[in-house]
Amino acid sequence: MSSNNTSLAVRKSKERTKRRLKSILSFAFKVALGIVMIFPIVIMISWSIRSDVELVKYGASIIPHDPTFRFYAWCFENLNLGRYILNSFIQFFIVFAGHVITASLTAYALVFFKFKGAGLVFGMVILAQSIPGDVNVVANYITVQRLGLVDTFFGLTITSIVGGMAIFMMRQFYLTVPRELKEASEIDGCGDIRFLMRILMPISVPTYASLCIYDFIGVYNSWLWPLMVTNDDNMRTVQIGLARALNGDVYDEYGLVLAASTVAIIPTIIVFVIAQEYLIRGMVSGSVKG
Amino acid sequence: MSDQQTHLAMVKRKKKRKKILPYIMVLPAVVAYAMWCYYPFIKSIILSMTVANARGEIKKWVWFDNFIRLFKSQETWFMIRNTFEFAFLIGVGTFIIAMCLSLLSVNKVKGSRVYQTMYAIPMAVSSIAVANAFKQIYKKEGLLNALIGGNTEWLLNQDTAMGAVAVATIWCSVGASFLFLLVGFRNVPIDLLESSTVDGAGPIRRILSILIPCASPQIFFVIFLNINGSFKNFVMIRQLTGGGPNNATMVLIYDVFLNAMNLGRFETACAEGMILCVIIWIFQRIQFACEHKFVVY
Repeated sequence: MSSNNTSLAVRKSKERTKRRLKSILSFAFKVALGIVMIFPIVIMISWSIRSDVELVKYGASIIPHDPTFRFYAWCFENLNLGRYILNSFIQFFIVFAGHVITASLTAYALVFFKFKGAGLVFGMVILAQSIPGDVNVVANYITVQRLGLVDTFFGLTITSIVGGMAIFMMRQFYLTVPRELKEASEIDGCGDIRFLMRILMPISVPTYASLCIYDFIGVYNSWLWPLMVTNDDNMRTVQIGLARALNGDVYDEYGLVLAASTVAIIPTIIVFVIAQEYLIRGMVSGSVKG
Repeated sequence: MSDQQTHLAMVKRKKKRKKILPYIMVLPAVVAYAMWCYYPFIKSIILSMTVANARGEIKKWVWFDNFIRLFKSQETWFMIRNTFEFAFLIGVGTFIIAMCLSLLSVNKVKGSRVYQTMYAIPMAVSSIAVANAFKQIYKKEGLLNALIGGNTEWLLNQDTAMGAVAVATIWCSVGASFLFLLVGFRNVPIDLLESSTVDGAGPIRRILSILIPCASPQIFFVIFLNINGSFKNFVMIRQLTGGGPNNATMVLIYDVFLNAMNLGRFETACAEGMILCVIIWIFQRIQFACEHKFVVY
C-alpha cells in the first residue's frame, strides 16, 4: 500500500520534472530563434567596433578581440545625427496626427452613414492603394515646389497626410463595433460628432496603437520623398542623412558605415522595446472588452 | 402649437445636417487624395502616352506607342517575371515566418516578452541601415560563407542575388506582420481555447479550427499589407544589388525609379508604372474576392 503511494508520488514528481524540462526547452528554442532574428543587428554592432585589421579578416569571430569606438566618435563629430533623428520623429508625429484625423472621419462616414457616393469614396481609397507612390513622386514634387514647401516639415509630410491603410484599419475596427452602441447613444441624445469623440475614439485606442506602429515603420523608412524635398542639412531625416554619409562625400570606410547605421537605429529600438509592451497590452485588452 | 412647430423645424434642421455631415467628414481625405494621388496619377497616365523631354514637358502625343515598345522588348518581360518572383518570395516568406513566430508566442509565459521583442524588432530598424549589415553577411569573405564554408559572392551571382535580396527584405517586413498576427491570436477568447482542450482538441486542431478562423480579419489584413508592399518594395534592391547582376534583380518599380530619377525618361517610367498598377489592381481584386469567402467577422 505504502509502496504503491510512493511509486505514485515518484511518478508524479517525474512528470513534473518532465513538464518543467519541456517548458525550459521550448523557452530556450524560442530565444534561440530570436537570436537568429536579431543576427543582422548583432553583426552591425559587432563590426562597427573593430579595428581595421579585423574588419577585413576572413572568418572572424562575432565578438571582436580589440574593440574600438573611434568610428562612433567620428560620427558624432562629423554627422548631424541628432538633428536627423529629431526630424524623423517630427515627420512621424505630423503624419500620424493627420492619419488619425482623416482616417477616423472618413471611416466613420463610411461605416455609420448611408450616403450617395459612399461606394465611390471607398473605391477611391482602395484604388489609391494600387497606385505606386513612386510613380507620383515627380508630379508631386513639382506641386510642392510651386507651393514653396521645399525644405519645410509641411512639404515633407503633406503628401502622406491621408493614408489608405489608416482608413482601411479604422473601417475594419468600426465594422466590429456593435450597432447597439450607436443606437443606445442616439437614444440618449448623443449626436454623431459627440459619439465619435466621446465614445468611438476612446475605444479605438488599440487600433490607433496599431496604426501608430504601422505609420512609424513607414515614415521612418520613407526615403525617396524626403530625399527630394530636403536640401538643407538641418531638414534631413535619418535615412537621407545616412544615405548621404554612406554613398556620398564622406564615406569610404566600412566600419564607419556600420557605426552610423547603429547610431541611427538605436533610438527607434529603445522606443520600440519600451512601448511595445504597452502597445500589445492595449491592443489585446482593448479589443477583448469591445 | 408654436412649440411643436419649433420642434419640427429643429428635427428638420437636424435631418438636413445629418445629410451633409458625412460629406464634410470625407472631405479632408477626398481633397488630399485628389491633390496628392489622383492628380499626379492622371498626369502620369498622360505622360505615359506622350514623349516628354527631360524636364517632363510633353512634346508629342503618341498614344500607346510607349506600351507597345515596352511589351515588344524582352527586357520588360524579364522584369515582369522578376517582379512576380520577388513579390511572391517576399509575400509568402514574410507571411509564413510571421505566422510561425506568432503561433509560437501565442501563450503568455514568464519571459515571453524577451523573444517576442526579438521577433518584432526588425520593424523598428531602418532598412537602409540594416542593408549595410546584409552586405557584410553576403560578401565573399562575409559571414554566410564563413558559416557554410563556401565562397559565393551572394549578391554578385545571378542565381543567388534574388534570393539574397528577398531574404533581406523579408527580414525587414516580418516584424510588423508578426505583431499584427500576434495581437489577432491573443484576442481569441481564452474560454474558447480551454473548452476545446477539454473536448480533446490537440494543438494543431486548435490552431486550424479556432485560432486561425477567429483571427481571420487580422490574417487578411497582414496578407493585404504584404502583397501591396512587396510589389513596391525596392529599398533593398537599390542598396544591395542596384538591379544587378545582369538585371537578375531588376523589378518594375526599381526601373520606374531609375527612369524617372536618373535617366529623365518620364514616359517610360510612367508606362511601366501603369503596368505595375494593373498588376497590383488584379491582385487586390482576387484578394477581396477571397475576403468574402474566408474572413469571419
